[in-house]
Amino acid sequence: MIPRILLLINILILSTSLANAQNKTNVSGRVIDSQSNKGIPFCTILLKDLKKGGYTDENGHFTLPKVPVGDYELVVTHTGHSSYSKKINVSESGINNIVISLSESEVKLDEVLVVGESEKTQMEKQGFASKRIDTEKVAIQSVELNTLLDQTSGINVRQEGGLGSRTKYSINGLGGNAVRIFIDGVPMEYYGASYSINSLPVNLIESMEVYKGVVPVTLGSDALGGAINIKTKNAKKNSLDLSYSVGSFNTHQVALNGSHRNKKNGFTFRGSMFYNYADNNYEVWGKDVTVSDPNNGRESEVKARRFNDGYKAYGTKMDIGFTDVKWADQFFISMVYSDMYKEVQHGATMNVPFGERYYTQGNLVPSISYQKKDFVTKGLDVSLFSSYAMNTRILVDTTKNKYNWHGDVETQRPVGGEMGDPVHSTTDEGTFINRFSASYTINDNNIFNLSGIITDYRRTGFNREAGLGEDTSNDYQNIFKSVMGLSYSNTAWDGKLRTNVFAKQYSYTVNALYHTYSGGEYHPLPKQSNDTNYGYGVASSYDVTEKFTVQLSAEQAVRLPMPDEIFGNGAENGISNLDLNPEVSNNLNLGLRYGEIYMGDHALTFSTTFFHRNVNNMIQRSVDTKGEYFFYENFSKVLSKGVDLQIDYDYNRKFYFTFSGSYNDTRYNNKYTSKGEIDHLYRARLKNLPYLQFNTNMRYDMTELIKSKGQLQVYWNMRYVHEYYRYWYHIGSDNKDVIPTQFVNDIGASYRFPQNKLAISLDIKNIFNEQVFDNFAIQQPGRGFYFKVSYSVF
Amino acid sequence: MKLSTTSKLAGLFVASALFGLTACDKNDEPSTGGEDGRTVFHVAADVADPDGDATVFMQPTKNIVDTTLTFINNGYQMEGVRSARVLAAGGRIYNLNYGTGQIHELEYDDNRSYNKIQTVNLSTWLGEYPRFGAVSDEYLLAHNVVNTASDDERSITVFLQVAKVGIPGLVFNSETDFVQYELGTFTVGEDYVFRVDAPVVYGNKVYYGTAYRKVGEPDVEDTPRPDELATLVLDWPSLDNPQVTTTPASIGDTYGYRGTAMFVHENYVYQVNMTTDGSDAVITRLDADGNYDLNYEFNIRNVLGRSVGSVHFHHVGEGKGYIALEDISLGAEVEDRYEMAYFDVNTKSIEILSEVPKSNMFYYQSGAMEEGVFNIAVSPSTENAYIWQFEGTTTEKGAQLDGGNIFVQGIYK
Repeated sequence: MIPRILLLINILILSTSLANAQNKTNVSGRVIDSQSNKGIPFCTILLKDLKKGGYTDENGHFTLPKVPVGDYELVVTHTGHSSYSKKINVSESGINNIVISLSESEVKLDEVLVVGESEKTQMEKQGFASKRIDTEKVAIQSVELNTLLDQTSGINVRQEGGLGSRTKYSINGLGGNAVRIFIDGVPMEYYGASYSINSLPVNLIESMEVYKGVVPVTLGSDALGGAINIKTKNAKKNSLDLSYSVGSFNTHQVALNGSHRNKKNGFTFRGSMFYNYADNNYEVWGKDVTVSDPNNGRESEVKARRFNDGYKAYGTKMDIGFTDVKWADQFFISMVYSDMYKEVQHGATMNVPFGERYYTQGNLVPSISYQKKDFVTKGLDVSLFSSYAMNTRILVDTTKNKYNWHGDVETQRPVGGEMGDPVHSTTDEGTFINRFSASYTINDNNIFNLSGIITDYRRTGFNREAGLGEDTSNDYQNIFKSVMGLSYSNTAWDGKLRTNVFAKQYSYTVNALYHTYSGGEYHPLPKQSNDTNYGYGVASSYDVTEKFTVQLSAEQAVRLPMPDEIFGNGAENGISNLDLNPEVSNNLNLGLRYGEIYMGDHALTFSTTFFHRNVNNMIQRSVDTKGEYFFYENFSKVLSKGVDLQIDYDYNRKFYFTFSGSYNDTRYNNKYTSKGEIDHLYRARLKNLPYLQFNTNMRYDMTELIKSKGQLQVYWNMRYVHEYYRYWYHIGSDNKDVIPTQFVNDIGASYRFPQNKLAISLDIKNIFNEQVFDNFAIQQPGRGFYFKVSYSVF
Repeated sequence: MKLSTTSKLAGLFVASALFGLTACDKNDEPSTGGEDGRTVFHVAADVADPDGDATVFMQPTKNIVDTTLTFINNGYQMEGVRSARVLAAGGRIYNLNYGTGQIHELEYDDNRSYNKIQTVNLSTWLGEYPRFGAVSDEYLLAHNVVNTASDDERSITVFLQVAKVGIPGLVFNSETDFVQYELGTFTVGEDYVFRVDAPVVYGNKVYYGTAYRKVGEPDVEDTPRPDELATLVLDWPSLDNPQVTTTPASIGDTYGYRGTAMFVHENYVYQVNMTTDGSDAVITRLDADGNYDLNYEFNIRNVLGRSVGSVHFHHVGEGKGYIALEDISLGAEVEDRYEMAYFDVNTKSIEILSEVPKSNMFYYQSGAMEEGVFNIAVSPSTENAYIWQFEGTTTEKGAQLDGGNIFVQGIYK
């Protein structure tokens, strides 16, 4: 778990970003009390222009490493003392032993001005129920983005297996397609699985923003239950970082990340690469992992290693352009290429192992982006992005071999296909993605923003195993989607009240061309539909005191249907329903944030969100009357209420503790079925959805103990997910499918060598080798050891 | 040989212990009723999900007449990856996990639930999606038909797989209890067996109801139906000599869609068809040699004077029973289209039970006879659901059920 406070400090204290040593130096000194001349511990030190800072130690000393040469405003604050501000000039030789004297002030505790709030704190104090996860501190550990998300209050991440396996996200009880994931503001669904949260190493990510329920228009899309925005590293300096992680189950992860900027002309190059590989051959056991006797069919439970769960993914992203030039803050021509291969070990449960089924996915995404503050006129900031994402998915399942859990072929099936009919399907998708955002700052207190995202998605697909008359290679499906948002932000009452009101328009047009086959010929069957919907909302926050903020947000949110929901999925017997309507949800959040409170060496921050979601017209899967095909229809209603909370504590800036927990009461809300029958599931807790979970993270900085100039940290994470039923909790009483309570412990240690170039970490996941299930009857990896080395070339 | 008292006592002790152990061995002593001697019924329900999945729950009860039976916080969940298929035989419950090929044997726990006694996995021989049926209190049959089309879609090769499983105990020997036959390769215009189910044994034959199809031209979207009904017959108990026998009495399938479609009565096997596209609902019969008796035909449409649909029927003895008949004039958009009727294959008579409300009986699977009364669940979509007691043409409401989307699909004993 990333401790929130650690990340806060991370921003304020340590800029561990890699710098060109020739242009950077240290600023150090001591803060003393003007009367006693004793050092003042835990003063906030901030170089205001850089948003870089730190804290004094228990003797009042501080060091800000790697400060670029230049002029800055140095601000020092401390509770109970008057703040201090001074212009300083940092030369190449740096500043050492500066002494700052603070006098005691009369102000009350809750009136002390806190300066230098981190971006994270600023974001979390806006009206939106949100969390920001900075990855910088944990980048040297063998940790996955999914793990970081799962440790955040209100979010649940469920993986079907080891590295690269399919993942489901839910935010405050709403999951599936209700949650949208973005990468640098671009909807990630167009990139495919090879360039996703599953595949991107933590080293390439700067932060992740999580919005619960209400999503700002700047992240223009049709999220209903919330959104996750992944921000990739965005360095404008010369750097080159390399990391390699090796671990259990033959897991290897390599990440390379670098950037170069020509100071004279602003030419900038950024590049990143990643490579992931895992056999995922961890042991599984239990009543679903059996081998049957070849003579009498008697089953015996075995402890087996997964043998068809391999995963490989690699990719690269390159940006070439200019930064901080007169005509652009940022202009890039970029290219993303990624590819992946994933084997499939079993279907919905582990009962039947597969030995050869696999899928691949690759994409190529050229793009162009432009950002400029004060564009044409002062106060007008623009951001433009345009790309064409090409992606190909292939699913292969043709073998006649029937495997058992020993990995042996026990017999041959008369017909190929381990999961039903034989399939060798290829699906090609191409999406033209355009995103723009323009904000106009009238003055410090009033900002307008107009944002939009326009996508034109086209899909073709065919199955090489399809019979005569079932060729779909000349079919296509197209969705033109436009989501526009206008917002107005106001700051009032000396900045204590922040309000954002917004309206969104969601419209889409669906075009599809199908073919019927008769008389030996294919006959075209075009179909079309369109719809427009509106959403609106408000997000506001009020600082009751400097430490205590109340947040309130409400939105009518709309989610447009996804391609598979509209067009079906032939490989899985899904048929189309072009008349599908969007889902609509009324979301309400009330948030409280209190902190950071100091009590001697103790510091504490508390934040909580109460939420209410009322979803109508929910898109759900239905089966035709004979049970042969499924399709999606608008029917269900869901009501979700709950609370999440997070407590961040540290002692003496050495021991950090974070607790996050969430509870959701998400219930099915239909009195009658679509057939008009009484629905006995009315008001039942939604099936197959975790509703109670806790995470804790403890981290201890042992640097002093080893008397080294490096940095040694140890950590311990705990994750608890309360048991829940696979089906409806109030139907039946015995032998019910249960996803058992999970209690997983991870420990690890990391050491950053002096000079800040080399870091190593050892992580042990699931240290007690618990049998853990995220989904019914699909076991997660057991204990694993991971070693990671990170090196900054420059 | 003289035995000492000590030896006698020891022998008695050992014998008692062995007896005790044997008595405790649940594999050999199926329980057919409650401790108080009252018959235990097992009521099974399909609980439909909003997303179309159905989960099967079962509960034991000794009262199906003047009570309310609910599955809210009550009932044993039957294991099923895609679905669970249940039946009762010899006093035990059997559950086929459709999606893994496992069959579980369950026993009533003398309280409100079940204990799992044994499991056999037949996927090696039948794949993960077989069907099954009980042909006696001693045997289950599990079966599958695999069809493979040629590349040009102009011919289909058909394989039949059958496994014989001894009960109680789910005893199976792959050497002696499994057969696989290639039933042939069928080209365009020829008829072939697409699926088999609902087996019954009579004499030295086992009779399988079939889904019967015609190999169509590849460019025709709808699968054409043969002009005949078909039954697949094998020798019993050897499972040798598979033969397909047909009758032109009507059109449609004969496997009962999870319900019973055949019964044995006075030297014949009587069979009802699953009507299709308005074909006649007929009861036919097959002789002990496995051939249709072309001289016998009970055409329900002709007797009633109107077209009705049929799926399965329930024999209560002496050639009499109950059948759900679809009022096809209502159209497919009406959910409650089936009315119950009492039939007699001897007199070829049928009478609609007008007091019983119409409901959707297509998915219904099993009723239970007890002391001359036939018990069956009737679940109209917009009215209360009850277990009904039928005796001849006399009908009476019994235990009330949940109704709605908790669909009681069978009563077993």
